[in-house]
Amino acid sequence: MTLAIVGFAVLFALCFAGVPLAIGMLIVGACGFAWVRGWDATVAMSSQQILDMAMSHGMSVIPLFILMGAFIHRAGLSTDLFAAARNWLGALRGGLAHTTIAACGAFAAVCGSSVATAATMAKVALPPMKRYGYENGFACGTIAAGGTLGILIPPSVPMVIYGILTESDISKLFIAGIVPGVLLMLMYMATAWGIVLVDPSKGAPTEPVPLAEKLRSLRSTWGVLALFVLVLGGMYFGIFTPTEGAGIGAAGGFLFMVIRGHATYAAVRGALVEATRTTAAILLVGCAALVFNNFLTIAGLTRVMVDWIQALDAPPIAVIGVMCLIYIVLGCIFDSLAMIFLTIPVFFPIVQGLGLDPIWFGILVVTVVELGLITPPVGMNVFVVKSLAPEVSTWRIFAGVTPYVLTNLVFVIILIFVPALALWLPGFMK
Amino acid sequence: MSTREARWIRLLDGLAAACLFAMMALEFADVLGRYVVNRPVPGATEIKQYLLALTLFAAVPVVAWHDEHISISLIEGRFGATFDRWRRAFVRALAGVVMLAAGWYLFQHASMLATNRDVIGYLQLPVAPPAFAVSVLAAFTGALYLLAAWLVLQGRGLVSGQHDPLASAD
Repeated sequence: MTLAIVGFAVLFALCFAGVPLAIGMLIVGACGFAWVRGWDATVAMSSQQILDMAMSHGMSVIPLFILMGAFIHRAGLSTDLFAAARNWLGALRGGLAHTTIAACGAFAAVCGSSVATAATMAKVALPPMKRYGYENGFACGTIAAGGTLGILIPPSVPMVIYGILTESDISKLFIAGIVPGVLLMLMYMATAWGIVLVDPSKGAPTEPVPLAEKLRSLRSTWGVLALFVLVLGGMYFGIFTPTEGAGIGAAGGFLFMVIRGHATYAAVRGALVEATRTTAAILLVGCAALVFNNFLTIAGLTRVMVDWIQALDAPPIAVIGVMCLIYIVLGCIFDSLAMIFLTIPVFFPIVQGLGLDPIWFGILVVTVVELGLITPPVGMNVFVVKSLAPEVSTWRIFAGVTPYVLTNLVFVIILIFVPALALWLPGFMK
Repeated sequence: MSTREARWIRLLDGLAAACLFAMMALEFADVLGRYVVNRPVPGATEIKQYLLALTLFAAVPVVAWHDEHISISLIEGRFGATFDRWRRAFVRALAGVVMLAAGWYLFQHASMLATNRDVIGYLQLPVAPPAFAVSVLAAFTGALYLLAAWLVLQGRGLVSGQHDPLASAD
């Protein structure tokens, strides 16, 4: 137990010094394991684990889903999604904010990353919001918050990682994310509506559009819906495994690029290179996390924690509450995937010991981890929007995103007390 | 970026990208084959395993060189330029040693797999070749990190540790 705590302390120190997480986990994992079992066993274990991860068939789901988002992004669908959403929602109070949130939600349905969702939508949504005189903090905050839908609405890279780490059914996790994702989207819209209700100068509605025009704009977005239904539907009915769904999704994204005339050599290569680099960054941490987790197991941390929580006899809701708090605090500084890799091996056995549903916990983890993307001082989504709106100060954006952070906190509480939100839909799966 | 540097980055990027595209095409063909003509691609699983190893480890050195591996930059620039330069050099040197060691041990592991003639899947593909590739690319990453450490100490290149997430987004 002491060894594990020392290990975590060293890992945090290395991370704060700027050592890449994967390197830190390899150092601590290997040295810690060697402390107990000796160097030869460590070398054998680590080599085997790294190679297993690099050659794991199940892991190919990650690059393929990332590739799907990269292709869709380059197919230029985001502009059409935004235009359609604006035709339907623009005339409401704070119309372009609703438009942005809805377009983020729709884009999230074919993209597994929040940062990519925020980046894509910022490019499309910022110019019209500026034109209509939306207050800078409100406009940027809305995009940053809308981007968080990227990992809650499936497909979702963090859900895949959670599924692999806990051996949970990734298809079920994806299906479980749909209802909470849509609910959070509606709650974000309600928040935007409230903000403009209080201060109407923050966001003006756009001109109403005739119904024929509204319907016409839907035509160019059918592709996103079709791909979502194909991939998620296939997984829902058990026709595809997650890997197959990801392969179909990526191929579908590629097809869109071709159909829409965006499939130049440079664009296709760009999407592929982006996806491989993102994959390398994620899976190198994955390799190192396996070594680190082996160390945690032989150091006895997980067992001691489970025994301790059980001896404490605390109500499960309190344990979950404490975990959520830890995520919120860690989220202020850690990357979302880094948090999942670091905490799940410790938290998951506890959750299992308490008899809680692993799918529900997965959705809850993704939801709290999301918060870290929009909370100061390190909020990736805020930074992404900031890089596209350099004239707006980072703190102005953090201020603009605060109402959404509060909404998200309320949503976390609802999800804790109403697990059915996540579990209802996957309940129908075979 | 010098042309020599550009060349190996393009080469590794190209290798990783080609492997990923092949993985996608294979997955697609496999699904179509299974559900439409009831004939999956023989050995698809182990070929995808080969491709994933190459996709991943061909991109690892490039990501390392661009300093884009997941990390926290909380104290960056808080303690003055000199401290920061030494810190960055130390981080890269440490990462270099770790990746070189990983490459060395992975190479030994791969040699063992080659001696044992370990194979995977329906096609009985040997495990050793991708294992050797992984070990060489891991060691190459280590060498790059050491080079980066030296460059940082010289006050050249790689000044910013902050990755712009949009730099690669078009």
